[in-house]
Parts: sequence; C-alpha cells; structure tokens
Amino acid sequence: MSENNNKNMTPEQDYRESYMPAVHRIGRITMAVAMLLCFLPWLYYFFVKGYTLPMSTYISGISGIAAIGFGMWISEPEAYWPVLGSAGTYIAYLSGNVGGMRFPVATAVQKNLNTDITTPRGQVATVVGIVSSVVVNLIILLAIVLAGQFVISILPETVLSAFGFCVVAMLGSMICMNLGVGKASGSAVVKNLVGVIPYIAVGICAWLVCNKFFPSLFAWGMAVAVGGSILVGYFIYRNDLKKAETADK
Amino acid sequence: MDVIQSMNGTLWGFAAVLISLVLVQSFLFLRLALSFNRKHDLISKDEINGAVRTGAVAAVGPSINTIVVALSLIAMVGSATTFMRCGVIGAPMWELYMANIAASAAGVTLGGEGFTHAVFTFAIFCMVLGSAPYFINTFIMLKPLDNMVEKSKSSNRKISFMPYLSKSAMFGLLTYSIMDYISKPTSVIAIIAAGLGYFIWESASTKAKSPMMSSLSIGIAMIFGMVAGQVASMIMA
Repeated sequence: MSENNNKNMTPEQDYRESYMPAVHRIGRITMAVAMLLCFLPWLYYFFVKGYTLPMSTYISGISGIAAIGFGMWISEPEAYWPVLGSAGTYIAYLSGNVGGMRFPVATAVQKNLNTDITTPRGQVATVVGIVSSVVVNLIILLAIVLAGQFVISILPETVLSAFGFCVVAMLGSMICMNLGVGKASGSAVVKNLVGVIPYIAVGICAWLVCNKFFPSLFAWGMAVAVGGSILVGYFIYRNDLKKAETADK
Repeated sequence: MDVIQSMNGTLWGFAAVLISLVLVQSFLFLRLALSFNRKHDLISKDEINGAVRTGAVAAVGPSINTIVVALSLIAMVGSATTFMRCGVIGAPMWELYMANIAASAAGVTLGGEGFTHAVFTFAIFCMVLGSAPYFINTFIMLKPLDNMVEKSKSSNRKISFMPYLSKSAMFGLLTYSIMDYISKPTSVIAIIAAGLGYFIWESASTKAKSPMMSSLSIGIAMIFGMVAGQVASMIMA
C-alpha cells in the first residue's frame, strides 16, 4: 500500500488496516523473543555451568507452580485486555505489575481524555501513558535495587507502612474516576452508579464464590468476574438496542 | 549468601538484556502510536504530555510500595535477580512466592543452609516459569480478540456494544479487586478517603479547567487514602 493511499484513509480504516496488524506484529515478535530470553539465565547455569538438581525436584516445583498459576495464565490477560487494549496488554505482560500499575494508568489516561480503548484516540493515549509508567517504574526499581537498604533506613516506619494502603487507595479513586465524581454533576454520578450496579454485583458474587465458597477456584476468580460482567453487559446492550430500534420505527 | 554473590555479577548481564527488551518493546509501540497520531491528529501535544504525566505519577506509588517486598527479595536472591524479575513481567510479591515454592520443593529455605548454586538455578527457573506462560497466552489470544472486536464494530447497529464491553469489564474487575481488601476496616477507611480526595481534587481541577491538575488526581487521591489508612491503623492499634 502506498503512503499516499494511507493518507486518504479515515483514522478508523487506517487503524484497522495498518495500525492493528503492526501492533500484533510487534507484540508477537517481542513476546516470542522474551519467552526465549527469560529462560536464558537458567539454560546457562543448568547446561553450561552444570548446576543441576534431580528431575523429581524439578517436577515437583513445576507442578506446584502450575497448580497456582494455571488459571491465571490462561485467563488474566483476557481480563485486563478490554481496558489495556492489545498494545497495552503486550507491554503490561512483558513489563509486569499489571494489576497494580498498568491497569490504573490506562484507566486514568482514558478518563482524562474522555475516551476508551476501542477508539484510535484511546489506543494512542493509553500506549503513551503505559510507556511512561514503564520507564518511571524501571528507574525507581533500579534505584531501589542499588540503594534499597539505605532508602529503607532513612524512611520512618510510619511512612513505609502507609504505602501498604497504596493499592487499595488507588482502587478507591479509580471507582470515583469511572463514575465521573467531581467532573460530572451529582445526578449524573448517581445515574452512572445505578448503571454499573449489575457489574458490581457480578464482581462481588464472583469474589464470594471463588474466594469464600470454593477457595480452590481462586485462580479463576478474576476471569469469572470479568466474563460474567461482560455477559451481563451484553444482555443490557441487547435490551438497549431493542429499545433504540423500536423508538426509531 | 556466598552462592548468590558469586552468581550476581553474571546475572546482571542477563538482567541488562531482558530490561533492554522491555525498553525496546515500549519504544516500538510508542513510535507506532505517535506516528499514527501524527498522521491523523487524534490527540494534541498537551494531551500527550498529560498522558505521560498520568503514567509517571501513577507509577510512583506502586513502585515505592514494593520496596519492602523487593528488599526481602534482594536478601533472598540478590540484587540482579530482583531487578531482572521485577523489571520484566513480574511483581515482587509473586516472585518471592515462586522462589519460596522452589526452595521448599528442593527441601531448603531461601538463602539458608543448603541453598546451593543448583538450588538457586532452580529458583530462577521457577520464577521464570511463574510468568512465562503469559507470553504464550498473549501471543496466541490477542489477535483473534481484536479481530472479533473489529468484526462487531463493522456491523451496522444503531448503537455499539463497545462502550458496554469496556464498562462492564472495568467494573467487574474493579469490584473483584477491591473485595480482597474490604474485610479490613482500615482499608475501607483508605478507600473512602481516597474517594473523597479524588472528589475534592477533581472538582477543583474541573472548576479551574486545568487538565494538568486533573492528570494528578489519582496520585493526590492515593496520598489521601494512604495517610487516612495509616492514621486509622495507628489509632486502632
């Protein structure tokens, strides 16, 4: 396709035909390379240096980890994907800290620009925000690793334990942000809240079922919450659609 | 600790390679997004700066939050491994968990007696294995998911399903995440204080019509929540 041709496309067309395929090309290549590279240190020590352990130890380690991880491995990226988008999900799952950092960043960026991930606008802004968080996170992490003990010794105990509340405080502010608190009028916020009550109910049910009633399902909890909410969202959508179409006639 | 020290130097080399990959990937996506934006003028320069600020501000809290766990991880597996594992897919808590599983499968304690080169190698393997399947998942799944979305977009309905999709997924996920904390009163106080902080700051920045202020909202709200949670736990203690 010539450059000229590209220019005449609407953003939506170009997004579908050239941006998205490029995202998946970059994403898939980097994920495949990462898969190989991350085992490199182990390969080196195991095969080159000969630091081996009996097969049985490896098998018991692998099965322990698979038992805990399996449900999350196959469901967690899909749970975050509707918010992070594909580019965001590729970045988040290479750089880590998905739930505690990339997810809030994506949400905040989209709210600030009043857009969501399914639009080209939302995609671009989300990628910018997430990349910024990756760089800052790496800088802080490097500083911690190099000067960790010293930092801990100068921060008072109270300050350190206050950071234990940081994730929950972030979740609280994200809920307010998504309801338009502070930005929209009071009645609009109430209306938003009423609109999302079904999803909140699904989230609570999923948590109770997968954490309290059947703790063995723990790893699936997030997928159940998101999958269930989307299903409910779909029914609400069908209903709204029907209303919109009959109103039109 | 001698075992870890003797391997730490080489591991820094591996860490550098992996971290470079993270940066290269981020750079490639950023370049793609920005050049797409230049072509179609979707968001302004100010909005880009706002997104950068939001990303940076929202990364500070969680990064610092992980200090304590990251430090214990350093004590257990050394600085290079900690940097490698926490900078590339992983979070300190999860890595510590994985390393512990490795140690107990090998019948030793982390960094304790019997933590040999071979056990350390095994621990590295387990930490890597704890997250590597995510690479395969995203590699296989994301493209079909996008194709599905694009297909549903092109259908000529009166209203689109997309806003419903993101809203339902977002609230399902948020509610689920917050439920983990709700049983602790101090956490509930932190949630409420953060919400209040958000409301105050966001109202002020809406009134001032300042997107610059608005991109700090989450950070400010988090400070509110953290201070309130800490004060509450000191009073209750």
